[in-house]
Amino acid sequence: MTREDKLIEKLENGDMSALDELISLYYTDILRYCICHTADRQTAEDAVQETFLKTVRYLDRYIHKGKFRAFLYQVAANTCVDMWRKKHQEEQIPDTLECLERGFQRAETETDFMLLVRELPAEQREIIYLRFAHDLTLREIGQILNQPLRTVQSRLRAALKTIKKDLERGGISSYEEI
Amino acid sequence: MKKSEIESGLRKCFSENTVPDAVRGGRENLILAARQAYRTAVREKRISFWQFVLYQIKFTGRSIWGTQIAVLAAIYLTLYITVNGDFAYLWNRRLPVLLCFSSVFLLLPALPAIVRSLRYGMAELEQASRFSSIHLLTARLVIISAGDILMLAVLTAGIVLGMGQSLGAVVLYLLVPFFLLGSIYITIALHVDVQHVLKICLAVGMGAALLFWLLFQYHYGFYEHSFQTGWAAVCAAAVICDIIQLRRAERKGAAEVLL
Repeated sequence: MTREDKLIEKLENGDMSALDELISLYYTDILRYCICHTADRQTAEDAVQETFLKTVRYLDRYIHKGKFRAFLYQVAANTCVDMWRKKHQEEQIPDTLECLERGFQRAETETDFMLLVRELPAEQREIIYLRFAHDLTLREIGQILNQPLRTVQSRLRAALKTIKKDLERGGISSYEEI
Repeated sequence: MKKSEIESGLRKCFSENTVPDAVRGGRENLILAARQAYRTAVREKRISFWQFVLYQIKFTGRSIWGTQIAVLAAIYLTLYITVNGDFAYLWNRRLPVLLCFSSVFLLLPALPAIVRSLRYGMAELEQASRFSSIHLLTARLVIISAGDILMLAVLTAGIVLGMGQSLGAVVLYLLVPFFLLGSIYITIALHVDVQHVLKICLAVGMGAALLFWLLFQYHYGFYEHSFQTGWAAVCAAAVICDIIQLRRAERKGAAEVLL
């Protein structure tokens, strides 16, 4: 039984401290996700709040089968889309990784990989982001993006292949020129 | 470069570049708001569908069943007065057609209840109970069917045990029209514009009664059969068709809400 399973069980039995622990467990991850999928830091914090509140409100509809994290990300994804639509009705939803310019600590190290990831098609980029920034399993990513496991697998494989090819071609220097 | 090296490079890169800067006081505020939302959600906890059916019995079940019993009693009284209490006269050749009529008239009082749940959408009830209007319709159908089946069982037992009639014939002429007509009514309720549902259902009911009467007059062979496996399959098919239609309507309703 994982820590998450225990917390959900406690929560189902009415233990409020489990709710605090669940929020603490996932707050940073969801904030990180929301920063990448909303327009600014303030909206991201609002989205995080809305995500957790929605989850709590509809907890009785959720049947726990060890997929709470994916469920939470799914709610976060929908909340970010809703918030974006409310604010910018006609503009397109921002691409993942556009967020790097705002709301995050800037690393001193080179961001070669980030540049390579930015060049990927949007659907591959999102999978790479969820897989390596959030350490989600392919099954969880499939659930969040509402895609079959096979599609996620093949897109991830294709993305890694592209990155590998770019690196072999000396992608770092060519991207530095951009 | 190996795949594993690329993966670890991506992990390192993301962990260095996408960690939120100082998390502001949002978490504490969120915990307080979530606790409040949790308390509210627990208070308004969704009941199960069968609990919902039980609650519905209190509000609608009794009136529907009462009307159905009243209709059956009225038919019985009319017949009693018509034949001056001599039921043996009726049972000889007219029993199957009377059973068919019972099925038709047993379903008629349920129609207004079905139409009401469709016509008014029951938005308030939907909101309060957190069940869709199709769930509400299904709950009413369950209540109606439970009452009908009980009444049909009592009628069957009364005729078979009290009057020594063949069980096969009683089941055939009571149950088959009941399931078929019920299925037709549900199809109409789900596919026809709500304004016309009651009229069309009443027309179908009256048409069925007329058909049974015409068959009795001109083709009596129709009433000389007994219940067999094929008829059981017809009843099962009607019930399955109802379930499929209700599920489809529920999915459609859910999709409309999402859109």
